[in-house]
Amino acid sequence: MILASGFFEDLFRGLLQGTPPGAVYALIALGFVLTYKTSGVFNLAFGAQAYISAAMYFKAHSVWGWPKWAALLVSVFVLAPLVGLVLERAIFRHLRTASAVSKLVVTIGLSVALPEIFNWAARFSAVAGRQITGIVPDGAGVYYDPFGVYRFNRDELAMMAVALAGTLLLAALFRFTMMGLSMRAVVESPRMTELSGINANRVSAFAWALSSTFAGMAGVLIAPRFNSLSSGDYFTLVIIAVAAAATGLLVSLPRALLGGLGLGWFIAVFNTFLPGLADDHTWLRPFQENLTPSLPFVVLFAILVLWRAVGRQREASDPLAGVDPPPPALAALERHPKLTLFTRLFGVFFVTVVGLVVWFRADVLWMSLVTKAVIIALIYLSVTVITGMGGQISLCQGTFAAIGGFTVFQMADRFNMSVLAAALIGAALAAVVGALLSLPVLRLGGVWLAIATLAFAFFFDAVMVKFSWVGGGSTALLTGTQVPRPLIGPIDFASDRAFLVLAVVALVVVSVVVIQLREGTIGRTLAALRGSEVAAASIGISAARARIVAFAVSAAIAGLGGALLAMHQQNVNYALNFAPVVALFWLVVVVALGARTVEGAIQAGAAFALFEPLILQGELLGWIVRGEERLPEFFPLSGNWRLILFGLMAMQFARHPEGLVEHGKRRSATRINRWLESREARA
Amino acid sequence: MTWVLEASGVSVAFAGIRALDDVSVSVEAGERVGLIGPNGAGKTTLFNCLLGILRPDAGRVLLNGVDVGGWPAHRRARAGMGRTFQRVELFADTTVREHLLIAERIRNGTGAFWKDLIGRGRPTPGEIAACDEVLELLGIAELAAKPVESLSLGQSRLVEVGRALMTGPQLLLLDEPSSGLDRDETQVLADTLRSVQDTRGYAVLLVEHDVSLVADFTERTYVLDSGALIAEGPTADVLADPAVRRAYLGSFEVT
Amino acid sequence: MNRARRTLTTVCAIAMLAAACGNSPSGDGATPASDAVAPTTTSPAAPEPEPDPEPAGTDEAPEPEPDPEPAGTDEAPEPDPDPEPVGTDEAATDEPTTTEPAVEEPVDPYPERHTFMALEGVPGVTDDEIRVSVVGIKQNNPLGTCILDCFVTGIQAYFDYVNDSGGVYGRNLVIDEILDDELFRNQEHALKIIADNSSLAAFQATLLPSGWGDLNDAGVPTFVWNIHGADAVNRDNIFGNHVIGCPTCTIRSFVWIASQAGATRVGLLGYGITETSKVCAKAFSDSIDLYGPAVGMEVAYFNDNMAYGLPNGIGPEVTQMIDAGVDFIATCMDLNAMLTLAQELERQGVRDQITLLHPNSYNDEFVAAAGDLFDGDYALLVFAAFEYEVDSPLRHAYDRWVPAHGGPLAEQTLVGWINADLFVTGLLEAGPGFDRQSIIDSLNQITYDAGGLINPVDWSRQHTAVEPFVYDHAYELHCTSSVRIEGGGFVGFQPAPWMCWPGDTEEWSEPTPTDFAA
Repeated sequence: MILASGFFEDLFRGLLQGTPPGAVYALIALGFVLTYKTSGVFNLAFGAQAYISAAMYFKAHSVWGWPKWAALLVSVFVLAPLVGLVLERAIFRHLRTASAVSKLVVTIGLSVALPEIFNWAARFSAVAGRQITGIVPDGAGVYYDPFGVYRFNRDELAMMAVALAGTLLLAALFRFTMMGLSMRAVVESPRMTELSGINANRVSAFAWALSSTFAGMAGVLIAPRFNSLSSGDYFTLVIIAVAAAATGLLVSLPRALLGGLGLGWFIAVFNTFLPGLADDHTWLRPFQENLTPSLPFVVLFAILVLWRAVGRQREASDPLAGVDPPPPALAALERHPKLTLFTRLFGVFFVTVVGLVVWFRADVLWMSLVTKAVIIALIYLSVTVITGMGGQISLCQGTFAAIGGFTVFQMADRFNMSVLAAALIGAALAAVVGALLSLPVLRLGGVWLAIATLAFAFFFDAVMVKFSWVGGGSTALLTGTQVPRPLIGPIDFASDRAFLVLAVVALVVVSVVVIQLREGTIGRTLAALRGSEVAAASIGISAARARIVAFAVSAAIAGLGGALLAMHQQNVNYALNFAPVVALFWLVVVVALGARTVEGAIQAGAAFALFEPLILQGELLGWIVRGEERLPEFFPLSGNWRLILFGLMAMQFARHPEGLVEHGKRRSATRINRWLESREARA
Repeated sequence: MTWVLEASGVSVAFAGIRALDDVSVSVEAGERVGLIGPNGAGKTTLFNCLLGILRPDAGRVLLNGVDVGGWPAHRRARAGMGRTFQRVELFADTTVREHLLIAERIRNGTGAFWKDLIGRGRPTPGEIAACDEVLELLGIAELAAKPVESLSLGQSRLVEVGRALMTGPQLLLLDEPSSGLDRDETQVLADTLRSVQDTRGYAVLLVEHDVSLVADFTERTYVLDSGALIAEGPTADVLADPAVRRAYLGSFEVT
Repeated sequence: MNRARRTLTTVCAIAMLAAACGNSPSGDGATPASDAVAPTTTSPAAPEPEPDPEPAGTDEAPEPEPDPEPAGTDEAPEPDPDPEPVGTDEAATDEPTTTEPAVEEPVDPYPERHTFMALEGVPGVTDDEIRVSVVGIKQNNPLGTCILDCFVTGIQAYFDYVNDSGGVYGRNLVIDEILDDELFRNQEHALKIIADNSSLAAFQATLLPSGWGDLNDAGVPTFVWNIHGADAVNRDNIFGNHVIGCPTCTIRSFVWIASQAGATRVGLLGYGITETSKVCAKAFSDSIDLYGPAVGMEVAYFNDNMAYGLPNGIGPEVTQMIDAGVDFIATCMDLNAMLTLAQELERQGVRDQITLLHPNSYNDEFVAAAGDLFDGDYALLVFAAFEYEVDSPLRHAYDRWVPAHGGPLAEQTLVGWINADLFVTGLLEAGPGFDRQSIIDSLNQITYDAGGLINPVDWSRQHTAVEPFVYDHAYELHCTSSVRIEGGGFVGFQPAPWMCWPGDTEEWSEPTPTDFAA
C-alpha cells in the first residue's frame, strides 16, 4: 500500500513528470485555439505547419550547419509566416463563407499535402533514431532540478516558458489591442468589419501569419522531445491536443494552456498510480491494459461526449452573410433531352469498353487494381450515405471497414465459416457498432462529430486491434490475418477474374441500395435534416433516429467493403488498408469528387486505386503513345505527387462543395445545353 | 368546446431575468388566436416552450388534453402541432412539391427503411395528389415543380404553411408570417390563410407584429409584455384596450 | 405480419446461401499452419521449447516497426569450411576468386557453374543476363534508416562479386528493376513483377509485406528481409535471411546476455498496441521466470502497455523501475523508444546503474550519434556481428565489396548480400537447366548458413510456422550473436560469433561458443 507521505511525493513527482508532455499539448492546443479564434478554421493541418518549421530548422542547423539563431529565424520567423500568408491568400480568404465542415476537410487535405510539398521542395526525409537539437544551447544536456524531485532539461523549460508567455501575450493581444479585436471581428463578419473601415483582408493575413508563426515555434520547441521528425507524429499530437483545446471551447487561451498541462498531468499520474493499484486489485487490470496506450483518445472522446457545453456553440452567423449571392441551386439544372440520352449512351458504352478491355487484356496487376477500385468504390458509398446524404463527416469509416475485414478473418479462422456469410455478419456487426457509436455523439454535429469519430478510430487502433478476438489470436501471431477467397459451388473465387465479377456485383447491389435509400424516405428525411434541422423537427422528423440509421447503414456498407477488400488481398492487412490516416484520405477523396452521388463515389474509388498507376506512372500516356519506352524522362512520377494533388483536390472542395465531378458535369452540361438550344433556335 | 392547446402557468427565467412569468394561453379547436407584444416581451420564448424547443421552469402544456411536457419538438409535431418560421426555413435543393412530399411521407411512414430497399420509397400517386391538393388550396399550384430557392418570400411562406399542413395538424403555430412582406403580400397571405383554415379546420396561434393582420385574421388575442400577460380576449377589444396601446401600439390607430 | 415474414425469409435465404458457400481451398489463407502439429502439452508445467524466439515482431502495428530479434535459431552446426557462395551439407569450398590467395585448392562443389545452356521461356533469363527485381521501402520510412538503398547496395555488390569471376552459367546477374514501396504499394509491385514476368526472382526489404502471398502463389522465388514472420511462414517460395520462430516460446539467449551483464532484477517493456509486442514482452518474462533461478535473476517490473511513440515520455515508468531496484531493462520497442528510455534514465540519474538490451539498435550511426549514452548496453543481432571474426570467403568478400560500393557494413547491406548469396546458391544447386521452380525446389532441400554469418537454416523443414513444444520445424540450435556498446560503438564480448543451445530442449544450460564457418 502507499504510505501517505510517499503518496504525496509520488503525486508531486507524477505531476512534474507530466509537465513536459503537458507543455507539448498545451503549445499545440494554444496554437489551435489561436488559429480558430483568428480565422474560424479548425486547423487540423496545424501539426503539418509545425512539422515544416521543425524540419526546416533541422535542415538548416543540423544538416547545413547554420548557427541556431539563423536557423530559428528562417524556420520560425520567415518560413512559417510565409506559409501562413500563402494559405490565407490562396485558400482561406475564399472560404470565409464556407461551412466549418468544408474548412475542416480542406485542412485534412493540407495536413497530408503540406508535409509532402515541403519534403519534396527541401529534399527532406523523415529522421529517426536521433536526438533532435532544440533551439536552446545545450538544450538536452543541461538539467535543472527546481524541487529536488525531477529534473527538467533546458529544452523543456524553454517549451514551458514559451507556453506560459505565449498564453499571456496572446491573451493580452486579444483583450487589449485593436488588432486583437479586429481579428475576432473579421472572423465573425468580414463585411461588417470592413464597414468599420478595417481592411479585412489585411487583418486576416496578419492573423494567419501570427498563428502560423506560433505553429512554427511550437514545432521547433516540440521536436527535441521525440527523437524523430516525421509529419505523422505531429498529426497524432494535434488530435491529442484537441482534447485540451476543447476544454476551452476553442476560444479560451488560458483554458487551452491548462487543458494541455492537465492532460499531461493526468496521464502521468494515471501511469504512476494505476500499475500499483492494478497489482493489488486485479479487476483494474483490463483498464490499465487498455487505457494506457489510448488514454488521450479516451479523454478526448469523453470530453466531447460528456461535456454539454461542447457542441452547443452555434457557428457565429454573420449578419451580413446574405450580401453574398447564394450558391447556384443544384436542382436547377435542366437538361436537354438529347444531352441526357447521349450521356447515358456514352456511359454505357464507356463502361462496356472498359469492362471488355479489363476482362480480356488485363494482366494480374491490372485485374487486381481494377478490383481494388471497385471495392474501394463500394466502401466510398458508405461515405455517400453518411456524408452525402446524412451531411455528417465521419472519420472512422476505416474502422468500420476493419470490423468487416476482421470478422471475416475470425469467422473463417475459428469456425471455418464461409467468408461470404462472414462478410454479411461483419457488415451487420459494423452496423451495430456504428449505431452504438452514433448515440453519444449525435448531438455534436459538424466538426465535433468528426473529431469524435476520429478519436474512436484512434482508440480502436490503439486498443482493440490487438485483442485476440479482433486482430490477434494465436493464428494471427503465427501466420498473420490471412483470409481465404470464397467458393460458391463450382466457382472458385481464387480466380481473380471471378472475384472481380463478385466485386462488381456487390458494387452494383450496394449502389442500387444507396439510390433506393436516397430517393426514398430515408434519403428525403436526411435531405430535410441537412436543409434545416428545426424545420425537419417541425414536421415530425426525429433527427436522432434518422442519424442513427444513417450511421448504421454507412457502417454496414463500409464493413461489407472491408470484408471484400480482405478477401481480395487474402489478408486483412489492417495497417495498410484501414489505419485511421487512410480513412482520412478516403474522406477527402470522396468529398472532393462528389459525396452526393453514386457516380461520385465510383469515380473516387477509381481515382484512389488507379490514379497513380494510370497517370503518375504513365500507363495511360504510354498506351496513348504506344509504348512505355516512348514516355518522357520524368515518368514514372513519384507517388508523392498523388499526395500533393490530393491537397489541391481538398482545396477545391471548399469552393465546390457539390464535388468536382458534379461541378464538372454541370459546367459542361450547361455549355452543351446552351449550344444545343442555340442550334435549335437557329433551326 | 375542445381545447387543442392549453398552456398554463408557463414560467421561464434566463440568468435572473424572468422571460415568462406564469403565462397561460389556450386555443380551441378551429379557433384563430393571436399573440402580440413588444419586442422582448417573451413571444418567442413562449413559442419555443409550446413547441418543445425550450423547457419551461414551471407550467404545463397540454395538446389535445395530453401533457406534452418533456416531449421533443418532433414528437409534438407528430402529435398535431405544426409551425412556420419567422426566418423561412426551407429544405435546400428541392422543388415545392418535393417539400410537401417529405412531410406527407413522414406522416405515413413506418418501416421506411425496408420499404426504401425494395423500391417502395418513391412518391406514390396518392401522395402526389395530396400535395397538389394542398398547393391548390394555397393558390400556388403553378409553382409545384419550381425549386424553392427561386421563390419570393411570400411564396416561400406559403410553401412553409403547405409543408406544415401536410402533417395534418390540429394546431398551426405561425411565427410572424408577415415579416418581410409588404401590405399587398400580407393581404394575400391573410386571405389564403383564412380560406385554408376554413377548409381544413385546424386551430391557429399567430404571433405577429403586424397589427392589421392580427385584427383581420384572429378572433382572440393575447398580449404579452415583459414576460407577463397584460391582456386577453376578443381581438377588437384587446386592440382597443388603453393598457395594450400604451405598452405596444403607442399612438397607433387601428384602421 | 406477412411483410415482415417475407423480409425475414429473404434475409434467411440470403444468409443460408452465403453460408452454404464455402471457402476457396487454394491460397495460403485456407490452411493456416496445417503442417504444424498441435501442441501436445502432455508435459505439465514443462518449460516451453524454444525454437526461434522473436520478441515483438509487430506485424499489425499501425506504424510498422521491425521485429527486434534476439536471434535464437536452431540447426545442426555445419562443420563446413564455408565456401562461396554456398552453404550446403557438403563440405568443400568453391568460388575460384583468383584474387583470394587460397592456401589449399578446395574441391569445387559446383563444377557446372560456367556451363551455358540456352533456356527458353524462363522469366528474366536471356543468353547474357539473369535479371531480378528488388522491392523495398526507400525514404520516409518510420525507422529513418537506410533500407532499400542499402539492401540494393548489398545485392549489387554481391552480383558484381560473382560477375567479376564469370557470373553464373555464362550469364551476368543484373538487377532489372528497383521499386519503391512508398509504404503502401507492396502488393501492387508484387503483382507487377508477376505480370511483367521479366525477372527470375524477387528481393524484398519492406515494412508492410502485403504482396508476399501473391509472389508465393505465383511461384516466384522471393528473398526477403525477414522481419515479418507471419508473412513468410508456410510459404515454400519465400526465403528469408533468417527464420522467425515461435513468438511465445522462452528464450535462453536473452537470459544469458542479461546474466553476462550481471542482471539480478529485470524490467521489461512492450507496446500495448499490438498483440505481437505484448507477446514478445511476455516471452521475455516467461524466460526469466523459467531460467532466472538458475542464474539468480527475477522480473522486477513488467509493463506491456506503453503507448506507441511514447508521446507522454517514460518518466513514471522509469521511476517505478528505479523503485523496484531494476538493474537491467529489456524492451520490445523500436530504436526511437530506446533512445527515449536511455535519455530518461540519464535524466533520473541512473543511466550508469541500469543496463539496456537493445533488440534493434545494431546501427553504427544511431549509436554514435548518441555519444556515450548507450555505453555498457547490449545489442542483439540475427547474424554474426561484424565485431566477430568469421573466417569464410563470403564474409571476407563482403568486407571488401560492400564498402567498395559505398555501402556501410550494416544490417541492411548484409541482408542484401546474404539474400543474393542464397539466390545464387539456389541457381547453382538447380543446375544449368534451371527455372524458377527448380531453384525453389533445390533450395528447399538444403541447409544454408551463409558462410557462418547466420544460424544455419534447413529449408527443407523450416518454412513451417513453429509452435510451442514442437521441434520439427525449429532451428537445430538456438543461437545468439550479440555485442556490447562501448565508446559510442560496438565491441564483441562473446568467445565465438555464436553462442548456442540445443534446440530440442528447453532446459537451461551454459551455451556453447560456435563458429559455423569453422
